[in-house]
Amino acid sequence: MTQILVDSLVYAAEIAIIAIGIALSYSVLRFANFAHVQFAVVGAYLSYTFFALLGWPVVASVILGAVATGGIAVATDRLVFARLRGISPDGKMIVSWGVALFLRAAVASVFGGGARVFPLQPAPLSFAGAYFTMQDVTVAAATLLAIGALHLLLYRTKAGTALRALAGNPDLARTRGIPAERMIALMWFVGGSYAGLGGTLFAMQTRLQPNMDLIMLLPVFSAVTIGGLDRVFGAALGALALSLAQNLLISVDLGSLLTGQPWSVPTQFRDFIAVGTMVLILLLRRRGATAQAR
Amino acid sequence: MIDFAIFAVTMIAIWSVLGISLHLQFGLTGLVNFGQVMPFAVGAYGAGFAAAHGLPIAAGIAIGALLTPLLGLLVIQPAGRLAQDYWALVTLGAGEIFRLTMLNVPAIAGGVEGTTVYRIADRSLAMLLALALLGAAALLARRIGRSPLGRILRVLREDETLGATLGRNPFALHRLVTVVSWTLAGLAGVLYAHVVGYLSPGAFTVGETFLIWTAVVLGGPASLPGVVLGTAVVELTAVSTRFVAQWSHLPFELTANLRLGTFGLVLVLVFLFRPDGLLREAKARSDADRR
Amino acid sequence: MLIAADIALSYGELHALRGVSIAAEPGRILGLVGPNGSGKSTLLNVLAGLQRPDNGNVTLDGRTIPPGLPHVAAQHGIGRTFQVPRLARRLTVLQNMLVGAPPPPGESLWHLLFRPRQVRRHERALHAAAMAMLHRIGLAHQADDYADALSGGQQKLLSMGMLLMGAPRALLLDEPAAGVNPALIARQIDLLRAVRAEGRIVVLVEHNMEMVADLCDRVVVLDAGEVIASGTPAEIRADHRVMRSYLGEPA
Repeated sequence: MTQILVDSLVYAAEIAIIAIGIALSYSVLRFANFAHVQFAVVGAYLSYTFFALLGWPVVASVILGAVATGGIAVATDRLVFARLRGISPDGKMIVSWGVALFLRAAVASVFGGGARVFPLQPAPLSFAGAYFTMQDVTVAAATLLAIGALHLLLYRTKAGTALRALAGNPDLARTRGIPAERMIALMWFVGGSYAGLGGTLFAMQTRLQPNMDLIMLLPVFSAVTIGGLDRVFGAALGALALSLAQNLLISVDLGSLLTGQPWSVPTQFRDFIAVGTMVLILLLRRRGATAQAR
Repeated sequence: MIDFAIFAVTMIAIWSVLGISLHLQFGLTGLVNFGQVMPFAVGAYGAGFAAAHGLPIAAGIAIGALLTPLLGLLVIQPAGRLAQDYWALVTLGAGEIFRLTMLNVPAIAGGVEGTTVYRIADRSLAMLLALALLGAAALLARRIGRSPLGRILRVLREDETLGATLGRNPFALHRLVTVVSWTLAGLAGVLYAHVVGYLSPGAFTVGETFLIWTAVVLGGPASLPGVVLGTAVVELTAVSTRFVAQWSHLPFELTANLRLGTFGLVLVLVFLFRPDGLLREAKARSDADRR
Repeated sequence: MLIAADIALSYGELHALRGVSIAAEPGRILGLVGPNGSGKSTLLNVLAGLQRPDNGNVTLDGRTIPPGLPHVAAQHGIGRTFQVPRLARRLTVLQNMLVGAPPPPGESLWHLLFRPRQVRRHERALHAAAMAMLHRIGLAHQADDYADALSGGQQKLLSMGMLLMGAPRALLLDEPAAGVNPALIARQIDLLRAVRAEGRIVVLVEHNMEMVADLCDRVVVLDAGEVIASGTPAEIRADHRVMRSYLGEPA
């Protein structure tokens, strides 16, 4: 049982840090940014380059990878999304896929399609009967730190207040003199660098592949949906809820409970649980929702 | 060369049916289906299931043609009255779930190994069948697009609440469009299976969905000729990658990645510089022939 | 008779409507006035099924209208226009008029494929009716323009015309005169007089007091989600509470 909790916590940490960026950008720009998950892949490859290819220290490589990804996110906004502020959310979603395809192709062209592994040998640890590694602890700690820092940024700084005002009521915020475009750039930078960090952590835990966005896509968007698309910290809680649901369902021996034959959900069905939870939440939420006239 | 031309025309025709399916959903009605590959896969796996279980070809066609609209209704049920963001997420998730099921449940049609399907040996016949299906799909889409039904679907695309205050149930119309367009895509899938002769889950990924999206956005989502034009351009690029790789002496993998990147770039550039696509929606004129 | 009985609706702490009751009679125009945020548009939304009230119900000629289903309310004969006109902007003016009518057979796939002649016949009649209505509202010369290309006032006329195409029993109009030039307002007034003469129910939300005084048979005043006065336009003008609520002084 402790093992399940530990595993869930670590997996939730990897997902959460990417998910909160999607919620952040949704809350300000009102569209689901599918390129965000690709930012995570780009960040992972950048960190890998600094660390494994250039031989820089691991912490510096990860931080630089994250910061560079933030820069790429801001540049993406300037080049593409800033010119499309006025189009429908559907249009922006489709464009974000275009950006994602382009970034994936760029990564695959430079690094090739094969899988790579971060050359790390984390120390094994155990606690209360659960086994994990030093890396798991680092991942969880980094995510908690990042979430804490974002909370401070949003609720304790002037920029954060401005960003929240922009998310709550963009028209009012603009008339009150909030520099919307600068705040939006800040949002892209924070979201992009968090994605870069999350992607690096994810790749350290598994491996590095140009199409790892497809592995992260469903759990990440499921976590954001569970938390409520525009709730930044809801996304983190959503990641935790999803991760617990996945690990519990996979580890419980359903067969013995129902038929007497031992059987549990195979691990390949993790994504089924992700999509299933998402659909379930949407169905529940629909009950309360009625057509709202603008 | 002739063989390649026949193959290319066959593929363009099949994928154009998928494009027309997306034209009905997105171009006319405004539904953002990010799992467009799913009805195609369901149709193909109808044929695959029949082949893997020794059933006649007709059974495969029937399974594909019937299961696709049913699954479509199942998928839009939760997405039904929600915002488009959620609709996109649910269809994306559903498409992936279907692929993962085919991958992880070998009993249906061979799992990751895939399955062989009866392959139409006469390639000209295959091409004629594909063109016939394309013709039928185009006629149906044209009939709908130029009718009062197409008119009210466009109203939903522009403003769903307006449609509702005019006494139309948007959800019922969405269901109708889903059934029609998914059935078309399912039939394209059945034919695809018999043209290619081999199915595996790797042929039905999110990547395929965005191939269709790129084609439709490039050609013009709201224009029927535009959709076919866009599909022809994109699919011709897709099937000729190997030749481009040979000719340019670049590695095949790199060429494929460059192609993917180009498609991504095309999606972005069209939105930036030609948001209606190459061909615009024709304006309905009051003095036009009203057949 | 269109009756809203004891309608309450709140967003968390904010009470948009509390215990509002109104009754609109056929062949009469009921004015609905009040300061911004007093709940007028919310009340129209509830009547048209666009918002589900927390309490209360809506009946039209004795039949209860199920709450929160706009298409059902419309099918029962309740039609609504909006402050910012809702139009299919990338469709032509004529096409917008055509969808204003009740669903023709050509909106059914079955009829399209197997009853094409019936569809064609119905379409021809519909086109004639729509053109006639366009002549009546004075937009016939722009039938083939995109709705988006019309001026704001013309867009409001167009949405009134769409509403009339559906021949609803009750018309709910949300500030038809706001931002519209006097010539077009005069055209709207003529149209509404004609509608009243046909014995239909009209609820008119309007800030233009001249238009209200000119057209309305009765006026209901809303303030902070409550009915604070009702009567003939003359009585309302004489009512000090109303004037104060408009001028923003404490009542």
